[in-house]
Amino acid sequence: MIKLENLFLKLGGRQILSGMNLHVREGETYVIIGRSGTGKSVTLKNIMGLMSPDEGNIEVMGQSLNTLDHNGFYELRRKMGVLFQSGALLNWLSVGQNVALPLKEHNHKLTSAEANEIVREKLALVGLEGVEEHMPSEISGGMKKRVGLARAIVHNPQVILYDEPTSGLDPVMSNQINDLITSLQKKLGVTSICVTHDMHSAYRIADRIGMMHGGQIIEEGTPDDIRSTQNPYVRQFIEGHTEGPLTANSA
Amino acid sequence: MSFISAIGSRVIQSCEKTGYAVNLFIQTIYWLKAIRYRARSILEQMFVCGVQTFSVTIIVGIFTGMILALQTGITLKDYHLEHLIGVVILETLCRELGPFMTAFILAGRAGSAMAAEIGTMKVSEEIDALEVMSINPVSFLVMPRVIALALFAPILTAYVNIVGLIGGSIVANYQIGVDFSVYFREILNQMQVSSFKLVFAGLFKGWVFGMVIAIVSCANGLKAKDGAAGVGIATRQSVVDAFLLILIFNYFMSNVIEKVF
Repeated sequence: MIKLENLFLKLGGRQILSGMNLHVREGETYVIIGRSGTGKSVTLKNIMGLMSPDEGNIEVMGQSLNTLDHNGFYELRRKMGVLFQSGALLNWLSVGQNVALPLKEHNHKLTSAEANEIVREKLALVGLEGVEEHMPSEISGGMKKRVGLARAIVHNPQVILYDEPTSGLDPVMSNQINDLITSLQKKLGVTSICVTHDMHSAYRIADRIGMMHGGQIIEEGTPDDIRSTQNPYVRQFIEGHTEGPLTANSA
Repeated sequence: MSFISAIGSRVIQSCEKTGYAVNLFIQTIYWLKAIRYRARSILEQMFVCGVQTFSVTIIVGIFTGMILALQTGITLKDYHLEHLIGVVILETLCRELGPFMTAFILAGRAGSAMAAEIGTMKVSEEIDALEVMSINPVSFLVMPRVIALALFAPILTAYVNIVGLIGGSIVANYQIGVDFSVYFREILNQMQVSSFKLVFAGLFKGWVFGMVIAIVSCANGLKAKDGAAGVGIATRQSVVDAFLLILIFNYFMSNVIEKVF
């Protein structure tokens, strides 16, 4: 479903991706873990087409991003949903307008009543009801993420990308988001890639987990494989030890 | 060598920035095809950028007219030509100062707000979110702002001109001793002689300045990076760039207008 082959990318003189390879199967939830600055979010942005690698190939739903023009990207992205770290809601639009935005932008014939019905349905899927008229500044961080998720799924995407979905949330809200991700995966059958530092979240939602270090995936496996791995980098990361091969400058 | 490379680096940066702004302008023209879906957004921007600037422009317009009347009135009185005070204010305001002052107000008030708003959207991933929703940010954000300012700048310019003439009439009457009827009669006479140059040339300048301010502000906003500090830099830079471009465009447009008409 999503293939990254030998990606290299340098930003500001620093090598971010160094031969990154990744293969995400259809319908699975793949979680990328790793320290800050290892290129996890950059990998997501490459898959979204917001950044281009210096070398290598990215294939999403059978289409090589190298061959796509501007319109091709826009067509492909309509089959993708993205939950940004902050939710990335437009502050001057209400919750309902935010969720309806992609619908109205791509289907000018859609009536307000039809759009409102879809918005209500998607907000209900993420456990929110009666918040359509609220402004983003009036809702909590967890609600913003859920609204962002409702907006990401409003087009019934085949792929959902999550950038740190539980960062900045309390443990209860984090678990609600985790449950939401797993339930959406079951209900919609989507392929998901999630970037996170949160190991509790990773174990809970992942079919497979990949650890990024030095601009590439250094270890990959099911949550049980990762729990029992003897790879010193992964062990240090999941146990959070300050001593080990992951030094301050090794990201 | 480092001095030369620093200059070279600045030149390259300036060229990149100019190229980006020109490209943004071309894209804006391309996205005019979506104008019918952006009517509401254009009206909102006209309100935010234009209507909310009225209160500032009334003060600027009146005092500009008053200063012009005072300075030129004293000199004209020495030559017993004070009855022409309105003509001098009309010529100065409509040709140069009206569009110029309006553009400066718009750059400081509306342009900086645009750069800050779009810059904040950029650093908080909202522009990325638009891209991944397959919504073109130029169509969604830039084009409505450019149209709004291009439409509103000439209106605001005419408003500054009128308010300036009224301000000038007060000083002319009470400080220089020119009767209101004489002041406005001379203005009307002059407008019959050179109405096109006076009115339309100034409004044309306002139209161009409106587009320049919006493009420069949006370009700086879209290039913002590195959080709140980056938004501050983009906002400041948008005002500096707009002021410089207004000056440069004003000179060349004045030249062309004088030669053509």
